[in-house]
Amino acid sequence: MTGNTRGCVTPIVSWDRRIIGILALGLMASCGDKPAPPPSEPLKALTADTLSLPGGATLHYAVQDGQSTAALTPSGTQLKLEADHTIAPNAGVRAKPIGQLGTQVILATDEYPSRPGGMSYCQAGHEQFLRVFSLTPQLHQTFQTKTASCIDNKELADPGIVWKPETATLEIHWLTETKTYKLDPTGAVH
Amino acid sequence: MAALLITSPRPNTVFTITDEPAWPAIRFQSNATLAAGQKLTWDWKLSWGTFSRQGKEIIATSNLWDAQSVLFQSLTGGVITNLGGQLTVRVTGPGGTNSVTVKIIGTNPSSAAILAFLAAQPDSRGFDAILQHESGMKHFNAQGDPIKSFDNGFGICQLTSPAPTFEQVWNWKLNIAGGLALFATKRASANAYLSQSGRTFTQDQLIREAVCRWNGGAYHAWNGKAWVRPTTILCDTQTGNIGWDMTNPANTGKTEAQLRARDKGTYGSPSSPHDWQYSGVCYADRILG
Repeated sequence: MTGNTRGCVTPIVSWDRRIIGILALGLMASCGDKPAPPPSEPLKALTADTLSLPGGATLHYAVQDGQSTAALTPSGTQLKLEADHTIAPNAGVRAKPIGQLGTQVILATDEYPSRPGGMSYCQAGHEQFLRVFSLTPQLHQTFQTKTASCIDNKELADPGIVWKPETATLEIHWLTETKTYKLDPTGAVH
Repeated sequence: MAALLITSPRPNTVFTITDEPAWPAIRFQSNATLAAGQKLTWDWKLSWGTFSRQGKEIIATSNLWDAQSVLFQSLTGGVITNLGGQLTVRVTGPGGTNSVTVKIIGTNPSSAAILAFLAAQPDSRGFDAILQHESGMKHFNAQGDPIKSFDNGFGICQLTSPAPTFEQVWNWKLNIAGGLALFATKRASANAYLSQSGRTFTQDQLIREAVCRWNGGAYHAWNGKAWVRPTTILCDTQTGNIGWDMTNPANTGKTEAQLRARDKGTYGSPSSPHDWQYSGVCYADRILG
Protein backbone atom coordinates (compact mmCIF):
# COMPACT_ATOMS: atom_id res chain seq x y z
CA MET A 1 0.00 0.00 0.00
CA THR A 2 1.28 3.45 -0.73
CA GLY A 3 -0.33 4.97 2.33
CA ASN A 4 -1.37 3.95 5.78
CA THR A 5 -4.99 4.34 6.64
CA ARG A 6 -5.61 4.40 10.31
CA GLY A 7 -7.77 6.05 12.89
CA CYS A 8 -6.95 6.99 16.46
CA VAL A 9 -10.14 5.73 18.01
CA THR A 10 -11.42 2.40 19.10
CA PRO A 11 -13.55 1.31 16.21
CA ILE A 12 -17.15 0.38 16.61
CA VAL A 13 -17.46 -0.62 13.00
CA SER A 14 -15.79 -3.92 12.34
CA TRP A 15 -14.56 -5.69 9.26
CA ASP A 16 -16.00 -9.11 9.45
CA ARG A 17 -13.45 -10.83 7.23
CA ARG A 18 -10.37 -10.06 9.22
CA ILE A 19 -11.53 -8.36 12.38
CA ILE A 20 -8.57 -9.35 14.46
CA GLY A 21 -6.01 -8.31 11.87
CA ILE A 22 -7.58 -4.97 11.20
CA LEU A 23 -8.15 -4.09 14.82
CA ALA A 24 -4.68 -5.11 15.81
CA LEU A 25 -2.73 -3.75 12.88
CA GLY A 26 -4.81 -1.03 11.38
CA LEU A 27 -6.67 0.81 14.06
CA MET A 28 -5.73 0.26 17.65
CA ALA A 29 -1.99 0.33 17.16
CA SER A 30 -1.96 3.57 15.28
CA CYS A 31 -1.65 6.26 17.91
CA GLY A 32 1.37 5.31 19.90
CA ASP A 33 4.99 5.94 19.04
CA LYS A 34 5.55 2.55 17.55
CA PRO A 35 7.59 1.34 14.62
CA ALA A 36 5.97 1.91 11.28
CA PRO A 37 3.98 -1.06 10.06
CA PRO A 38 4.99 -3.00 7.01
CA PRO A 39 4.33 -0.77 4.03
CA SER A 40 2.56 -3.43 2.05
CA GLU A 41 -0.46 -5.19 3.41
CA PRO A 42 -1.88 -8.18 1.63
CA LEU A 43 -4.71 -7.37 -0.73
CA LYS A 44 -6.45 -10.63 -1.19
CA ALA A 45 -8.20 -11.19 -4.43
CA LEU A 46 -11.63 -10.13 -3.30
CA THR A 47 -14.39 -9.22 -5.66
CA ALA A 48 -16.51 -8.22 -2.68
CA ASP A 49 -16.07 -7.17 0.92
CA THR A 50 -18.40 -6.40 3.79
CA LEU A 51 -18.36 -3.99 6.72
CA SER A 52 -20.51 -4.83 9.73
CA LEU A 53 -22.41 -1.86 11.11
CA PRO A 54 -24.07 -1.27 14.47
CA GLY A 55 -27.47 -2.80 14.87
CA GLY A 56 -26.69 -5.76 12.67
CA ALA A 57 -26.66 -3.91 9.38
CA THR A 58 -23.90 -4.47 6.83
CA LEU A 59 -22.33 -2.41 4.08
CA HIS A 60 -21.44 -4.71 1.24
CA TYR A 61 -18.89 -3.64 -1.38
CA ALA A 62 -18.72 -5.34 -4.74
CA VAL A 63 -17.17 -4.82 -8.15
CA GLN A 64 -18.76 -6.05 -11.32
CA ASP A 65 -17.72 -5.16 -14.85
CA GLY A 66 -15.53 -2.40 -13.47
CA GLN A 67 -18.33 -0.75 -11.51
CA SER A 68 -17.91 -0.59 -7.75
CA THR A 69 -21.02 -0.54 -5.60
CA ALA A 70 -21.93 -0.37 -1.92
CA ALA A 71 -25.15 -1.91 -0.70
CA LEU A 72 -26.72 -1.51 2.72
CA THR A 73 -28.57 -4.40 4.25
CA PRO A 74 -31.20 -4.99 5.34
CA SER A 75 -32.57 -1.88 3.60
CA GLY A 76 -31.31 -3.03 0.21
CA THR A 77 -30.24 0.45 -0.82
CA GLN A 78 -27.41 0.29 -3.34
CA LEU A 79 -24.98 3.02 -4.33
CA LYS A 80 -22.70 3.21 -7.33
CA LEU A 81 -19.29 4.30 -6.12
CA GLU A 82 -17.32 6.66 -8.28
CA ALA A 83 -13.86 5.34 -9.05
CA ASP A 84 -11.54 6.18 -11.95
CA HIS A 85 -9.41 4.84 -14.78
CA THR A 86 -6.56 3.84 -12.48
CA ILE A 87 -8.33 0.74 -11.19
CA ALA A 88 -7.40 -2.59 -12.70
CA PRO A 89 -9.95 -4.32 -14.88
CA ASN A 90 -11.65 -7.14 -12.98
CA ALA A 91 -10.33 -5.66 -9.76
CA GLY A 92 -11.32 -6.91 -6.34
CA VAL A 93 -12.15 -4.53 -3.53
CA ARG A 94 -11.09 -4.39 0.08
CA ALA A 95 -13.06 -2.20 2.46
CA LYS A 96 -11.72 -0.89 5.73
CA PRO A 97 -13.60 0.95 8.47
CA ILE A 98 -12.28 4.28 9.67
CA GLY A 99 -14.95 5.30 12.15
CA GLN A 100 -18.45 6.57 12.58
CA LEU A 101 -20.37 9.58 13.84
CA GLY A 102 -23.35 8.55 15.91
CA THR A 103 -25.00 5.55 14.40
CA GLN A 104 -25.90 6.98 11.02
CA VAL A 105 -22.63 8.28 9.54
CA ILE A 106 -19.90 5.88 8.46
CA LEU A 107 -16.35 6.59 7.31
CA ALA A 108 -14.57 3.86 5.37
CA THR A 109 -12.03 3.29 2.65
CA ASP A 110 -12.28 1.05 -0.40
CA GLU A 111 -9.13 -0.13 -2.08
CA TYR A 112 -8.43 -1.75 -5.45
CA PRO A 113 -5.41 -3.04 -7.34
CA SER A 114 -3.96 -0.48 -9.74
CA ARG A 115 -4.33 -0.85 -13.48
CA PRO A 116 -0.85 -2.07 -14.39
CA GLY A 117 1.16 -0.46 -17.15
CA GLY A 118 4.07 -1.70 -19.19
CA MET A 119 7.24 -3.01 -17.58
CA SER A 120 5.33 -4.10 -14.43
CA TYR A 121 4.43 -0.47 -13.68
CA CYS A 122 2.11 -0.41 -10.64
CA GLN A 123 1.45 -4.14 -10.90
CA ALA A 124 1.74 -4.26 -7.10
CA GLY A 125 0.12 -0.87 -6.61
CA HIS A 126 -3.20 0.07 -5.06
CA GLU A 127 -5.81 2.77 -5.50
CA GLN A 128 -7.74 3.81 -2.42
CA PHE A 129 -10.73 6.06 -1.78
CA LEU A 130 -12.02 7.47 1.49
CA ARG A 131 -15.78 7.91 1.62
CA VAL A 132 -18.30 9.19 4.12
CA PHE A 133 -21.74 7.59 4.03
CA SER A 134 -24.92 8.68 5.70
CA LEU A 135 -27.43 5.95 6.34
CA THR A 136 -30.44 8.26 6.60
CA PRO A 137 -32.91 8.79 5.13
CA GLN A 138 -31.31 6.17 2.93
CA LEU A 139 -27.73 5.22 2.14
CA HIS A 140 -25.95 8.02 0.35
CA GLN A 141 -22.40 9.27 0.04
CA THR A 142 -21.57 12.73 1.39
CA PHE A 143 -17.85 12.87 0.69
CA GLN A 144 -15.10 11.11 -1.20
CA THR A 145 -11.44 11.70 -1.83
CA LYS A 146 -8.68 9.57 -3.26
CA THR A 147 -6.21 8.79 -0.52
CA ALA A 148 -3.68 6.53 -2.20
CA SER A 149 -2.70 5.88 -5.79
CA CYS A 150 0.27 4.22 -7.37
CA ILE A 151 -0.62 5.62 -10.76
CA ASP A 152 -1.37 9.17 -9.60
CA ASN A 153 1.42 9.16 -7.00
CA LYS A 154 -0.87 9.96 -4.10
CA GLU A 155 0.37 8.99 -0.70
CA LEU A 156 -0.51 9.56 2.91
CA ALA A 157 1.84 10.12 5.81
CA ASP A 158 1.77 7.87 8.86
CA PRO A 159 -0.84 7.93 10.30
CA GLY A 160 -2.71 8.96 7.20
CA ILE A 161 -6.36 9.23 8.17
CA VAL A 162 -7.28 10.26 11.70
CA TRP A 163 -10.89 10.35 12.80
CA LYS A 164 -11.71 12.12 16.06
CA PRO A 165 -15.33 11.34 16.89
CA GLU A 166 -15.39 13.50 20.00
CA THR A 167 -14.97 16.58 17.81
CA ALA A 168 -16.33 15.06 14.60
CA THR A 169 -13.04 15.96 12.96
CA LEU A 170 -11.45 14.13 10.06
CA GLU A 171 -7.76 14.71 9.45
CA ILE A 172 -6.04 13.56 6.27
CA HIS A 173 -2.29 13.67 6.65
CA TRP A 174 -0.49 13.81 3.32
CA LEU A 175 3.28 13.73 3.19
CA THR A 176 3.36 17.44 2.51
CA GLU A 177 0.25 18.81 4.21
CA THR A 178 -2.67 18.02 6.48
CA LYS A 179 -6.28 18.70 5.59
CA THR A 180 -8.88 18.90 8.33
CA TYR A 181 -12.61 18.47 7.83
CA LYS A 182 -15.57 18.79 10.18
CA LEU A 183 -18.56 16.53 9.88
CA ASP A 184 -22.02 17.50 11.00
CA PRO A 185 -24.54 14.97 12.29
CA THR A 186 -25.98 14.50 8.81
CA GLY A 187 -22.62 13.43 7.47
CA ALA A 188 -22.04 16.63 5.53
CA VAL A 189 -18.33 17.41 5.34
CA HIS A 190 -17.07 20.97 5.73
CA MET B 1 1.59 16.05 -72.34
CA ALA B 2 2.71 12.81 -70.68
CA ALA B 3 0.77 11.58 -67.69
CA LEU B 4 2.32 12.67 -64.41
CA LEU B 5 4.12 9.77 -62.73
CA ILE B 6 6.30 9.23 -59.69
CA THR B 7 9.19 7.39 -61.23
CA SER B 8 11.11 6.74 -58.03
CA PRO B 9 10.93 5.11 -55.56
CA ARG B 10 8.96 2.08 -56.67
CA PRO B 11 5.78 1.25 -54.75
CA ASN B 12 6.34 -0.71 -51.54
CA THR B 13 10.03 0.09 -51.37
CA VAL B 14 11.30 -0.38 -47.80
CA PHE B 15 13.44 2.30 -46.17
CA THR B 16 15.18 1.76 -42.88
CA ILE B 17 15.76 4.15 -39.99
CA THR B 18 19.23 3.62 -38.54
CA ASP B 19 19.87 2.55 -34.96
CA GLU B 20 20.97 6.14 -34.17
CA PRO B 21 18.07 6.73 -35.03
CA ALA B 22 18.48 8.69 -38.29
CA TRP B 23 15.98 8.87 -41.09
CA PRO B 24 16.84 7.35 -44.47
CA ALA B 25 17.16 9.43 -47.61
CA ILE B 26 13.82 9.23 -49.45
CA ARG B 27 13.49 11.30 -52.59
CA PHE B 28 10.35 11.15 -54.72
CA GLN B 29 11.14 11.81 -58.35
CA SER B 30 8.43 12.68 -60.90
CA ASN B 31 8.56 12.78 -64.68
CA ALA B 32 7.18 16.32 -64.80
CA THR B 33 8.79 18.99 -66.92
CA LEU B 34 7.63 22.26 -65.44
CA ALA B 35 7.16 25.32 -67.59
CA ALA B 36 7.29 28.82 -66.15
CA GLY B 37 4.50 29.31 -63.64
CA GLN B 38 3.74 25.61 -63.29
CA LYS B 39 3.89 23.89 -59.92
CA LEU B 40 3.72 20.47 -58.37
CA THR B 41 1.71 19.84 -55.21
CA TRP B 42 3.08 17.09 -53.00
CA ASP B 43 0.65 15.67 -50.43
CA TRP B 44 2.10 13.22 -47.95
CA LYS B 45 0.75 11.08 -45.15
CA LEU B 46 2.80 9.00 -42.77
CA SER B 47 0.80 6.52 -40.71
CA TRP B 48 1.28 3.55 -38.43
CA GLY B 49 -1.64 1.97 -36.62
CA THR B 50 -3.72 4.75 -35.09
CA PHE B 51 -0.91 7.27 -35.45
CA SER B 52 -0.55 9.54 -38.45
CA ARG B 53 0.88 12.80 -39.71
CA GLN B 54 0.21 14.51 -43.01
CA GLY B 55 1.10 17.62 -44.88
CA LYS B 56 1.42 19.34 -48.20
CA GLU B 57 4.15 21.15 -50.06
CA ILE B 58 4.01 23.11 -53.31
CA ILE B 59 7.17 23.20 -55.40
CA ALA B 60 7.67 25.28 -58.52
CA THR B 61 11.35 24.81 -59.13
CA SER B 62 11.83 21.06 -59.27
CA ASN B 63 10.16 17.80 -60.12
CA LEU B 64 11.76 16.23 -57.03
CA TRP B 65 10.40 16.01 -53.47
CA ASP B 66 12.86 15.23 -50.71
CA ALA B 67 10.93 13.48 -47.97
CA GLN B 68 13.85 13.49 -45.61
CA SER B 69 14.35 17.22 -45.58
CA VAL B 70 10.66 18.09 -45.65
CA LEU B 71 9.50 15.65 -43.01
CA PHE B 72 12.55 16.27 -40.92
CA GLN B 73 11.51 19.88 -40.60
CA SER B 74 7.77 19.42 -40.69
CA LEU B 75 7.50 16.62 -38.15
CA THR B 76 10.12 17.51 -35.65
CA GLY B 77 11.27 21.02 -36.30
CA GLY B 78 14.60 19.66 -37.39
CA VAL B 79 15.40 18.32 -33.98
CA ILE B 80 15.37 14.62 -34.60
CA THR B 81 14.18 12.22 -37.25
CA ASN B 82 12.16 9.29 -36.14
CA LEU B 83 8.73 8.42 -37.45
CA GLY B 84 8.00 5.32 -39.47
CA GLY B 85 5.19 3.30 -40.96
CA GLN B 86 3.47 3.71 -44.33
CA LEU B 87 4.42 6.85 -46.22
CA THR B 88 2.04 7.71 -49.03
CA VAL B 89 3.01 10.56 -51.32
CA ARG B 90 0.72 12.00 -54.01
CA VAL B 91 1.87 14.47 -56.59
CA THR B 92 -0.54 16.70 -58.49
CA GLY B 93 0.34 19.02 -61.36
CA PRO B 94 0.34 19.38 -65.10
CA GLY B 95 -0.34 15.93 -66.46
CA GLY B 96 -2.60 14.76 -63.63
CA THR B 97 -1.91 13.05 -60.35
CA ASN B 98 -0.05 9.97 -59.14
CA SER B 99 0.76 8.43 -55.78
CA VAL B 100 3.22 5.94 -54.34
CA THR B 101 3.33 4.25 -50.93
CA VAL B 102 6.56 3.11 -49.34
CA LYS B 103 7.36 1.58 -46.00
CA ILE B 104 9.69 2.92 -43.33
CA ILE B 105 10.96 0.53 -40.66
CA GLY B 106 13.28 0.81 -37.68
CA THR B 107 16.53 -0.76 -36.50
CA ASN B 108 17.16 -1.90 -32.94
CA PRO B 109 20.03 -0.22 -31.15
CA SER B 110 22.49 -2.41 -29.29
CA SER B 111 22.08 -2.95 -25.57
CA ALA B 112 25.32 -1.07 -25.06
CA ALA B 113 23.98 1.92 -26.99
CA ILE B 114 20.78 1.89 -24.95
CA LEU B 115 22.65 1.78 -21.65
CA ALA B 116 25.07 4.45 -22.79
CA PHE B 117 22.18 6.71 -23.73
CA LEU B 118 20.47 6.03 -20.42
CA ALA B 119 23.63 6.64 -18.41
CA ALA B 120 23.86 10.09 -19.94
CA GLN B 121 20.40 11.04 -18.69
CA PRO B 122 20.08 12.63 -15.23
CA ASP B 123 18.65 10.54 -12.37
CA SER B 124 18.46 7.40 -14.46
CA ARG B 125 20.02 5.09 -11.88
CA GLY B 126 17.54 2.37 -11.04
CA PHE B 127 15.62 2.81 -14.26
CA ASP B 128 18.46 1.12 -16.12
CA ALA B 129 17.92 -1.97 -13.97
CA ILE B 130 14.17 -1.90 -14.62
CA LEU B 131 14.74 -1.57 -18.35
CA GLN B 132 17.17 -4.47 -18.46
CA HIS B 133 14.84 -6.64 -16.41
CA GLU B 134 11.64 -5.81 -18.24
CA SER B 135 12.27 -4.92 -21.84
CA GLY B 136 14.58 -7.42 -23.44
CA MET B 137 16.30 -4.26 -24.68
CA LYS B 138 14.32 -4.32 -27.91
CA HIS B 139 12.33 -1.49 -29.44
CA PHE B 140 11.44 -3.03 -32.81
CA ASN B 141 10.16 -6.45 -33.74
CA ALA B 142 11.57 -8.66 -36.47
CA GLN B 143 9.62 -6.73 -39.11
CA GLY B 144 11.07 -3.40 -37.99
CA ASP B 145 7.84 -2.17 -36.41
CA PRO B 146 7.80 -0.89 -32.80
CA ILE B 147 7.00 -3.59 -30.30
CA LYS B 148 3.38 -3.40 -29.20
CA SER B 149 2.06 -5.34 -26.21
CA PHE B 150 -1.44 -6.72 -25.82
CA ASP B 151 -2.40 -3.77 -23.62
CA ASN B 152 -1.12 -1.15 -26.06
CA GLY B 153 2.28 -0.74 -24.49
CA PHE B 154 4.65 0.61 -27.12
CA GLY B 155 8.36 0.28 -27.64
CA ILE B 156 11.23 -0.57 -25.39
CA CYS B 157 9.55 1.01 -22.33
CA GLN B 158 6.12 -0.39 -23.19
CA LEU B 159 4.63 3.07 -22.70
CA THR B 160 0.91 2.86 -22.05
CA SER B 161 -0.29 5.64 -19.78
CA PRO B 162 0.10 8.48 -20.44
CA ALA B 163 -0.52 7.38 -24.01
CA PRO B 164 2.72 7.74 -25.98
CA THR B 165 3.09 10.08 -28.91
CA PHE B 166 3.85 8.90 -32.45
CA GLU B 167 7.41 10.09 -31.88
CA GLN B 168 7.77 8.12 -28.62
CA VAL B 169 6.45 5.02 -30.33
CA TRP B 170 9.01 5.14 -33.12
CA ASN B 171 12.06 6.79 -31.64
CA TRP B 172 13.69 4.61 -29.01
CA LYS B 173 15.45 7.54 -27.38
CA LEU B 174 12.21 9.46 -26.96
CA ASN B 175 10.57 6.25 -25.74
CA ILE B 176 13.20 5.86 -23.04
CA ALA B 177 12.81 9.51 -22.16
CA GLY B 178 9.10 8.86 -21.66
CA GLY B 179 9.80 5.93 -19.35
CA LEU B 180 12.37 7.93 -17.49
CA ALA B 181 9.87 10.75 -16.95
CA LEU B 182 7.54 8.23 -15.34
CA PHE B 183 10.38 6.93 -13.19
CA ALA B 184 11.14 10.50 -12.15
CA THR B 185 7.70 10.75 -10.55
CA LYS B 186 8.49 7.65 -8.50
CA ARG B 187 11.87 9.02 -7.55
CA ALA B 188 10.23 12.25 -6.40
CA SER B 189 7.68 10.30 -4.35
CA ALA B 190 10.47 8.21 -2.87
CA ASN B 191 12.36 11.33 -1.91
CA ALA B 192 9.30 12.88 -0.26
CA TYR B 193 8.57 9.66 1.62
CA LEU B 194 12.09 9.06 2.89
CA SER B 195 12.64 12.67 3.91
CA GLN B 196 9.41 13.01 5.89
CA SER B 197 9.83 14.34 9.42
CA GLY B 198 13.41 15.28 8.60
CA ARG B 199 14.52 11.66 8.33
CA THR B 200 17.76 10.90 6.54
CA PHE B 201 18.48 8.26 3.91
CA THR B 202 21.17 7.12 1.51
CA GLN B 203 21.21 7.33 -2.26
CA ASP B 204 20.97 3.55 -2.43
CA GLN B 205 17.83 3.67 -0.30
CA LEU B 206 16.40 6.34 -2.58
CA ILE B 207 17.00 4.20 -5.66
CA ARG B 208 15.56 1.10 -4.00
CA GLU B 209 12.53 3.07 -2.82
CA ALA B 210 11.95 4.44 -6.33
CA VAL B 211 12.27 1.04 -8.00
CA CYS B 212 9.86 -0.45 -5.46
CA ARG B 213 7.36 2.29 -6.13
CA TRP B 214 7.62 1.70 -9.87
CA ASN B 215 6.02 -1.67 -9.17
CA GLY B 216 3.88 -0.43 -6.29
CA GLY B 217 4.06 0.54 -2.65
CA ALA B 218 6.77 1.69 -0.34
CA TYR B 219 9.95 -0.29 0.27
CA HIS B 220 11.30 1.03 3.52
CA ALA B 221 9.73 1.15 6.95
CA TRP B 222 10.87 3.46 9.75
CA ASN B 223 12.02 1.54 12.81
CA GLY B 224 12.29 4.60 15.01
CA LYS B 225 15.92 5.22 14.13
CA ALA B 226 16.44 4.40 10.49
CA TRP B 227 14.76 3.27 7.29
CA VAL B 228 14.88 -0.51 7.01
CA ARG B 229 13.56 -3.22 4.78
CA PRO B 230 10.42 -4.64 6.35
CA THR B 231 11.05 -8.04 7.89
CA THR B 232 7.42 -8.98 7.40
CA ILE B 233 7.70 -9.51 3.65
CA LEU B 234 9.04 -12.85 2.43
CA CYS B 235 9.66 -13.08 -1.30
CA ASP B 236 9.36 -15.97 -3.70
CA THR B 237 12.84 -15.57 -5.10
CA GLN B 238 11.93 -17.60 -8.17
CA THR B 239 9.46 -14.94 -9.31
CA GLY B 240 9.74 -11.30 -10.22
CA ASN B 241 7.56 -9.72 -7.56
CA ILE B 242 5.53 -12.26 -5.63
CA GLY B 243 5.79 -12.38 -1.86
CA TRP B 244 3.96 -13.06 1.34
CA ASP B 245 2.99 -10.89 4.29
CA MET B 246 4.28 -12.96 7.15
CA THR B 247 1.94 -11.24 9.62
CA ASN B 248 -0.89 -12.95 7.81
CA PRO B 249 -1.70 -15.97 10.00
CA ALA B 250 -2.00 -18.11 6.91
CA ASN B 251 1.68 -17.46 6.18
CA THR B 252 3.25 -17.04 9.60
CA GLY B 253 5.90 -19.60 10.46
CA LYS B 254 6.15 -21.07 7.00
CA THR B 255 9.24 -21.11 4.79
CA GLU B 256 9.54 -19.74 1.28
CA ALA B 257 9.62 -23.27 -0.07
CA GLN B 258 6.48 -24.24 1.83
CA LEU B 259 4.60 -21.14 0.76
CA ARG B 260 5.69 -21.51 -2.84
CA ALA B 261 4.61 -25.12 -2.92
CA ARG B 262 1.26 -24.11 -1.51
CA ASP B 263 0.65 -21.10 -3.75
CA LYS B 264 2.46 -21.45 -7.05
CA GLY B 265 -0.58 -23.05 -8.63
CA THR B 266 -2.51 -19.80 -8.13
CA TYR B 267 0.16 -17.45 -9.49
CA GLY B 268 -1.38 -17.62 -12.91
CA SER B 269 -4.86 -16.68 -11.72
CA PRO B 270 -4.45 -13.67 -9.46
CA SER B 271 -8.17 -12.97 -9.37
CA SER B 272 -8.76 -16.13 -7.36
CA PRO B 273 -8.44 -15.99 -3.55
CA HIS B 274 -4.87 -16.37 -2.35
CA ASP B 275 -2.51 -15.43 0.45
CA TRP B 276 0.35 -14.17 -1.71
CA GLN B 277 0.67 -10.68 -3.07
CA TYR B 278 2.42 -8.76 -5.77
CA SER B 279 5.07 -6.88 -3.85
CA GLY B 280 7.13 -3.89 -4.86
CA VAL B 281 9.55 -4.86 -2.10
CA CYS B 282 10.17 -8.21 -3.77
CA TYR B 283 10.39 -6.48 -7.15
CA ALA B 284 13.13 -4.15 -5.92
CA ASP B 285 14.96 -7.03 -4.24
CA ARG B 286 14.82 -9.03 -7.43
CA ILE B 287 16.02 -6.23 -9.67
CA LEU B 288 18.61 -4.59 -7.45
CA GLY B 289 19.73 -7.65 -5.52
